Amino acid sequence: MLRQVGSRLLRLVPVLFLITLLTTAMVDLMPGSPALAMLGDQATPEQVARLNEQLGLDRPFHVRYWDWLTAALGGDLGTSLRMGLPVTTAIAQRFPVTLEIAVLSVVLALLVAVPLALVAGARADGRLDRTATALSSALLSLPGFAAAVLLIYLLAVRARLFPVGGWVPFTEDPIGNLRSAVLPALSLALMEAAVYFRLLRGDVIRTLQEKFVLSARARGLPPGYVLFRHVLRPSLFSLTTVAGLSMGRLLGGAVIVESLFALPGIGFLAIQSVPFQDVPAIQGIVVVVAVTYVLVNIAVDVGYSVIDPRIRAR
Amino acid sequence: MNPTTTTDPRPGPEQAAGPDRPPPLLHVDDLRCHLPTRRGLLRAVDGVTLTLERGQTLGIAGESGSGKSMLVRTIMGIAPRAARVSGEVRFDGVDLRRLPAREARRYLGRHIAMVFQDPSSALNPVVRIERHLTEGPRHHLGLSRAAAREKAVQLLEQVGIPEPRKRLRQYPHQLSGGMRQRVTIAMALACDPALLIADESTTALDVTVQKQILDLLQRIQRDRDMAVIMVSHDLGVLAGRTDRIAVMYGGQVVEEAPTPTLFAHHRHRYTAALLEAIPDTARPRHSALHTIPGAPPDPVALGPGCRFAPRCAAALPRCSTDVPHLEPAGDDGHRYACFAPTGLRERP
Amino acid sequence: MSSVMQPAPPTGSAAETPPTASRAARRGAKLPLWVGIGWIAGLALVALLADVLPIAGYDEVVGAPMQGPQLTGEPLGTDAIGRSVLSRIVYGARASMAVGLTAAVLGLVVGGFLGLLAGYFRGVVEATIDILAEVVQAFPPLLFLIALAAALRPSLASLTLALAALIIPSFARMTKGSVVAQSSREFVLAARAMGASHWRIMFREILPNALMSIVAFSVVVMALLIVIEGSLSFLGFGMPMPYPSWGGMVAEAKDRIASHPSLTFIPAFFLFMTVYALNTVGDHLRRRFDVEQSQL
Repeated sequence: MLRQVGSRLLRLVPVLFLITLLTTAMVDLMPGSPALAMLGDQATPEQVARLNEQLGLDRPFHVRYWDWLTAALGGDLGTSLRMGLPVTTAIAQRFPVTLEIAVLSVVLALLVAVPLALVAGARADGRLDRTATALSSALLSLPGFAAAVLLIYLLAVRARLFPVGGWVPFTEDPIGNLRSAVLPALSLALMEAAVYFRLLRGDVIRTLQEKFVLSARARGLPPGYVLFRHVLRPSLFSLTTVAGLSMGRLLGGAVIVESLFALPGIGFLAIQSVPFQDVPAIQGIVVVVAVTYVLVNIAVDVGYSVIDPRIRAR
Repeated sequence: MNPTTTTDPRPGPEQAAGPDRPPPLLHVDDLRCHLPTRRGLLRAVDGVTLTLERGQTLGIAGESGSGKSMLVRTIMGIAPRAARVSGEVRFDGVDLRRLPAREARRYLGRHIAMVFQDPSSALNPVVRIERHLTEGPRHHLGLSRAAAREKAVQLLEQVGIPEPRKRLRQYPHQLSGGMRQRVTIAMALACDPALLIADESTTALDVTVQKQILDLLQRIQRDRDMAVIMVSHDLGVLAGRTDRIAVMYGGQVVEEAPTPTLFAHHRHRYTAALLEAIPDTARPRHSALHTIPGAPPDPVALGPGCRFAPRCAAALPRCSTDVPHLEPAGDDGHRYACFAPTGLRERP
Repeated sequence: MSSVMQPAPPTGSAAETPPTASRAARRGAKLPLWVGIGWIAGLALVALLADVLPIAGYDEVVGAPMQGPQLTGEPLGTDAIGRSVLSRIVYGARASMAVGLTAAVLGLVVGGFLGLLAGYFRGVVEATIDILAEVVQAFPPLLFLIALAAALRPSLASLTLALAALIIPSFARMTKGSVVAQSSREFVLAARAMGASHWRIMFREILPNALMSIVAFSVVVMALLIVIEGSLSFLGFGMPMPYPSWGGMVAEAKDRIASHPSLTFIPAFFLFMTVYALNTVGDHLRRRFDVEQSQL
């Protein structure tokens, strides 16, 4: 298993290399230049050229990339052109927000999906199952931003239960923090829950056909016990993988939800950086997100062996 | 219920429970299990009547698809949820089918227990052996965790598993096939049932292990004076280990007799064919193995008449139109349903 | 970037209506499929015939702004500038479906080809394609698209290309899985024993078998692309001006959701129904061809 992790980590190197190369190249392709974006339309070409030189943006591509790469390997992701902050600081400030939303979404989705899938799968094709399956099909078809807008309308505008946007840090006001996190997390959780439900329900139905479930029933064990102590755990394999991958994705920042609710997370930072052509920020964010994603993938693979005792032995 | 498809129109003398004799341990009366499927109604069990007394061993023989596995599942009440079941299953006089689910569950695992075929799939791969053995007694007998664990150790010793305490902590995949089968037997015995149903419990094992397991079952049965129903497609397995044998075909019992009588004086053509098919080392080498031509009937599209008729070498014209009923032959409880039995002239 | 890259997972053949379910239940289960097919067909028809339909142009100002749906005037009302919501929906349908379909087909062709190569030749070819796929997939998708769209001047073509580029790795992985499964089967070994060339085997033997599941997959992919395009347009980076887009319409109307909710809900509803229809049909096709190895 260690060898597998090692080879996956090794693959990380060319992947990251290509990603960062690609990012730098893409920003280069964008019309105009960061200097132009910073100075605005009124700037004269001389002013733009001078700023370009100051920022070192007039050097050839490979020189710029090499400088960035060597600095990044040392932990220095450069300074944001737009904010003047070190990129690492900017990301570190925003990462907890994204993390909180990601964790909250996955937890909420699991809390809803797991019991529902268990009960629906146990009585497949019953009323609960058909309703829940239809609902999950519908939710899967609702794009994240549409769900968010809907939730804002229902819960923030009409019911006034939650704020329409903005973020209250946990250290300032825990309750306010949770309140500002609910709607964004819920918008994401709806679709996640639908995915988890479908997956787990299918696996529950498959597990219920196993001989050991029949054996448990034949021993007179109550149906609730059989469901929770015999059916649940073997059915969780696919779900844990998908939930883990979801977490990896969400940690990359839910761009739409963050910008809609004006949450100071990584995704929002990314969106703000692009039109500004804030090269260091964009590069830094992409690297952090890609690394997180791949690491989470690896962790999920490893975690699989923890859940399934059959793999553990090997 | 369609009276013409019942194979046993008259109850035999054993089923009557008078004031002077206790009811039989198990009495199954005209049990049917029909499954609605996309292609039609699957008549897995179609009118089976059987009786079993305490301490007796009943063998149920038949090919795959004869309905024998579905029969024992229906007796235990764990037929598929979509199945339509009718008939009576009287355990110690109580009709299990009439009981509410929670009441019926008190019998399962406690008074009637089942040993499943293929121990690899009958054990939950993510559950340790200890829980497999203790959850039954803890639920049915209210034992504490410690007491249940001690009982589990004893059970493992009884079924001949060495180092029982070490095995408790292990997962099923860490045990060999033979040991897993012993564990499933131990699970079934956990609450001291009066009736043990062994469904093809040795088919998935190789021959040497098979004999060990069967001997074990026999020994346990004698020690505990348990009644046993042994289901197998292999008449060789059932010979010498059962008191009576019922032969099933197409969801029905076609012949039933005390074991020696079945082997010596069988009447039904299918029984004869089954016995012929047992490889006999006394025959000359390289002689072809006897097989029964054709395939088991499609349980969704059963024709009129005797269900074995399409494959029967001695079928008469009336075999395809009329349904034979179980009729007694002799007075030792031997019954069979055949218009053209072996060893006799054609019946009127 | 989160919920965007997530097409509906297949429900698995065993897990749908069990064979012992009643006939009524099975008929009920078919209803969403017919609704889905009907919706897609209807929408495609309307989108194709948009120019000849008696509706206003998508940029025309037809009346007073912010009017709700009327029976005699504009059936779906007017937006903030007074344009016909109905027209914008219809032309938005055309734009979204055209982009989605083209991108899906492009992705299918290129991704399918790459997957075929990777699955057939294995070894270095497979490793290279795998790494390239992982690069694209590890990239935060929306960021990738926004940056790409910004880099190449915004146009329908650049949007389509960007979407196709995004979805190529998924097609490649999915095809590769299917091809790998096929390659070990006997008819391939037989063809090779007869001396057939690689290309012949790939295109005449393997591809036809993998094709059906790829096509089923692409229907679901189209649903995903429509969601992504909608999300991009919502953020302002998607459909170039002046083309209307459902996502863009939601964005325009969201600030006025308190006073004029219908302006938001109408495009959102169309988005939802279209994605739902595509998902349902694609799901059904996937179950028919038993795609267990969908790799995203």
